[in-house]
Amino acid sequence: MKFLMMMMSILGGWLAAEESGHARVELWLGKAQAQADGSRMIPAVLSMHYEKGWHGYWVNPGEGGVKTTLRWQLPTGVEVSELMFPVPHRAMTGGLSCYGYEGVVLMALEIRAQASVDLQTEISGELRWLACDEKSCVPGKVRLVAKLAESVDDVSKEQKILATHRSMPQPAPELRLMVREEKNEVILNLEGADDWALEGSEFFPLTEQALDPKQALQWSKTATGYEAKAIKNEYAEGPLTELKLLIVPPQPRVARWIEWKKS
Amino acid sequence: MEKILNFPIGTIAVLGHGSGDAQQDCVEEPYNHSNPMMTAKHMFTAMVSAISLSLSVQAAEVGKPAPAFAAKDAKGAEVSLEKLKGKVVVLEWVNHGCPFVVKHYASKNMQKLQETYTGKGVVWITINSGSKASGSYTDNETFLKISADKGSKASHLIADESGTIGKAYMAKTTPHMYVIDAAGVLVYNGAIDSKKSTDEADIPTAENYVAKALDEVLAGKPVSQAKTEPYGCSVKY
Repeated sequence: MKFLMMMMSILGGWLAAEESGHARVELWLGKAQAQADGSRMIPAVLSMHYEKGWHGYWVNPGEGGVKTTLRWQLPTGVEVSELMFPVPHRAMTGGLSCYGYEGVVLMALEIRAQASVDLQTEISGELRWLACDEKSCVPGKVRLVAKLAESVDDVSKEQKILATHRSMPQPAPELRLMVREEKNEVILNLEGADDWALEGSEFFPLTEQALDPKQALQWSKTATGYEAKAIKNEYAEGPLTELKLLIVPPQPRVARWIEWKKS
Repeated sequence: MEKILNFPIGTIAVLGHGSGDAQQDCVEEPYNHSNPMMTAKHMFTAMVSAISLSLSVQAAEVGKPAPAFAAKDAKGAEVSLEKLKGKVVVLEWVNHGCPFVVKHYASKNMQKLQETYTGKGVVWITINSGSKASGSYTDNETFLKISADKGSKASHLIADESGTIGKAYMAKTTPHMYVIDAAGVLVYNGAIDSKKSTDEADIPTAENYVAKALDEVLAGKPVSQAKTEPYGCSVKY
């Protein structure tokens, strides 16, 4: 398979769009925000626009897909967070059940530069993804290069960066998830969710190879909270030791995540 | 797990294996129900078709007898799993348009595996279950040419256009790998290796599950990691 390697150049405060693997990629850097310790936090957004009919994958790609990854080469004093993914959609590739995106997907990331770092410093990274339609899959690969000081120069895009960061899934510490296994079933109990419309919520397993991706969780009320029975992923190795779930209530559609770890 | 399979009329037969309740046969000619001049052969054909469509087949399950099949390979030779008893068999699902398959062929990783293990007496069967409608189908001549161009060392190539073998094994992706021991028992089902990517650079640092399973089987040991999640493009049935 032919890989396309592209160097993205800076144009008007944002990185010029480049195309590879049936997607158009842009990296937007916001204005540096001074922190109490003298360091700077730069909010950024990675925009991927998949061609019509093509889709890419979430952090848990489900069956068959591959998650989108971004690996940075960073100078001393600069750190970049993991890519933060928005709520995915369920998709089918052939007969395989996947989690991913169609159209435009905006992913958030935070760049942190220590006080000693000159904002003219350049950072670079390699973005890789897999785009699939019903008949084929094509890998995409783009090299990203940016100067920390080159923030977007229009207000609407700056606002979009901040709005994207605000829309990312957040933890839900008020919810308590408990997990136990019975044969091939995983029994989930959730406490503290009295104010949630769980019956109408969507659930996505962030943990790979834990739950069967074909099954949507159905919750029922119990004396202490809610319970759902899930089919264990056929490729899970041994008993589950952790499970992270994304919950997306119908209204407002603000995603939260909950986590269980075997004590 | 029981799976009801619809067997199209074709030249491949899949035989229920191990469960004792499954049978399948193949027929050679399609039967036209609107033709009033039904011959005895057509009547038989119709009966066999009706029976075969309703039979269930034990799905491929590690530790159980592998679903038997008989088919003609791309060169026209008969390949019967039953007749291969006594030999270790590898089934490899392929689609040379898939970037995951390209990763393992462009790097020669797959060919090296084929060469190494066929050199040790393993029978390696490469199968394309892509249908004509999906665009992934290759006729025998094309399949032979592509495989020769890529230096495939497989023992047999099978164009499973109807998807009969693929569905019997529930092959999900290309590549999707299976290892069957000399007694006809399925001992490995899953990925070729541990790195789910299209990047050739990942191959040297990946754990090759198929090589590990074959080494263990050939040494008379149980397969320590018998089932993994296959990765790749979906099989285009």
